[in-house]
Amino acid sequence: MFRILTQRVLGQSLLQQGIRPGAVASASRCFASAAKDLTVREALNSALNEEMSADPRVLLMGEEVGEYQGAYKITKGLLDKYGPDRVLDTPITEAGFTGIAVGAAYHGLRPVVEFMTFNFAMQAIDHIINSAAKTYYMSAGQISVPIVFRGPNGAAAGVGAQHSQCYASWYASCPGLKVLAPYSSEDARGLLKAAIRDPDPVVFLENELLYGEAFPVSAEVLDSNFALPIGKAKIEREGKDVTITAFSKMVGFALKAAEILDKEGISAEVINLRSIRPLDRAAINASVRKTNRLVTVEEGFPQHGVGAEICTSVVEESFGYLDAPVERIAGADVPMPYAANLERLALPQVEDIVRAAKRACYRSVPMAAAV
Amino acid sequence: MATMRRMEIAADSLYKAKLIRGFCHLYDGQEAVCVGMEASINKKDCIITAYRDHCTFLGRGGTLLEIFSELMGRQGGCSKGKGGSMHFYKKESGFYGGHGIVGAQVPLGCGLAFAQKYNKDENVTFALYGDGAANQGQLFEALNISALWDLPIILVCENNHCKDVNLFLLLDFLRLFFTLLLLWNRVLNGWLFGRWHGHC
Repeated sequence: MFRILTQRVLGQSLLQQGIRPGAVASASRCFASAAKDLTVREALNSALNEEMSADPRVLLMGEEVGEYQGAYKITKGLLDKYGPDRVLDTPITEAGFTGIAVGAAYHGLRPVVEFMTFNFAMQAIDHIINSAAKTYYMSAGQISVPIVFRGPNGAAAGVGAQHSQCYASWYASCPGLKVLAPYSSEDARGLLKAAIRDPDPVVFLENELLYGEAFPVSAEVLDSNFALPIGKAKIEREGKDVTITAFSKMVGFALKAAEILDKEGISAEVINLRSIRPLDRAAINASVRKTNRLVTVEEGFPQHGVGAEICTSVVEESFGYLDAPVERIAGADVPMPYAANLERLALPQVEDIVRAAKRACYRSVPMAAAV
Repeated sequence: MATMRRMEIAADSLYKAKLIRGFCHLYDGQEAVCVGMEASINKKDCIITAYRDHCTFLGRGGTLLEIFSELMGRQGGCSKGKGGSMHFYKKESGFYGGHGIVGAQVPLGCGLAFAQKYNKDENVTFALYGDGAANQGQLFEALNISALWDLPIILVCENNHCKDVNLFLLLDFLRLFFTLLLLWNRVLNGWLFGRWHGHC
């Protein structure tokens, strides 16, 4: 079933780059399948709706999730449908309401906590880590914590240093948490449903700039039983010369880079990680053993990032298969600047991925000189 | 209560003998609080407390063997040796721990009460905290939300004055002491040698 889905999606990989809804609509008419366009926002909304409908223990908590219909309209219509007992608007008190949500999860409810961005989740990080992530272990299995923490993560557009950080590597380093990062609408639907059904705490890292992007999805994805497995990456584009790993918005950039590289005779394999913890080490290593070169891409700060962990995994398991050092593309090691040109320089761009892939393939430009 | 007292004194001896490692927060002197509470509630009511949890756990149906095994890091402990002194739990009796971060148990307790109201139980939750945690911002956040949402939560403050004997108070005393010493030195110098710098 997944093979068919993968083939269908690969065939539509061109559609997944810099999508404009108009272009997708016309392209999708060319395919005979029942592909329908779904924005990431609609995907998340429908996933929440279906899971709340299926399980009365699921409830939503967060700032503006109810009457305002969601700060980014992800929870639109849910207050009207499920009522104020299940869709709860909270005051601006992350530490307080996150603690309350975790306590409710201790007792057996399945809260979905929305953080307006994960920057604000730092106010509540003690409850995410110490109260949620570690409790199943500390209680020797007595108390499980079936909670989901979701919200936008990483850079938006011009929001400045305190509103732009990517927290993937912070949460992914913590045992007891699962950390997911969807890219497409299929990812958003499948992974959020899996997260809500999971008995453990899940950190669900969305991206504000992807909410409005539309992706074609098959009928299988739209089915209410659809869910994606946690811990499995997806090969978005098959290739044989270099492996590029990415998650969230960077998957789109990696796919664009792969198109450019293809024209220059480099066949790039793009892996959409989907799951940062657990990391799909098997898929990454299998790909590197095939291509012998690796470029990791992430938006977050470079030191102790996701790319560092992927590099170590490959060095530990597939060192003999590497024909070049691992290239790591990350955000600049600086608080996010406000000015548009500086912000652009502080984030990985398609050209950076292309350059790194070429370095991995030819080694024509020494790494130090390229900085 | 007598059992609880003897248990805590024994734990104290074991801790000093280094058979209990890390932290060991004792409840001797406070036994009446949890015993009195237990007399008026049932096991469907929930209790959550901070790290001074040995007696609370015993009151909820824990055994001495489970307690001492856990304190000494044995598999027979209530958390199989993985939790330690601060992390005793007994979910089937409504005891939700056992928490190491000062004040964190209060929002968690409000969450338990939230779930009880959500499930339309006729039960309540007791969240115990101390004079130290009374300063924590998250306590007031949780209290505010509990009032807004009308949650069946009872906050119990056990003021054992542990907060009072702390480093900052000690530093205040030290500062006061040295200031007085300096003043005395100045006065003495002035009187003995007529060195009244900048005075009169």
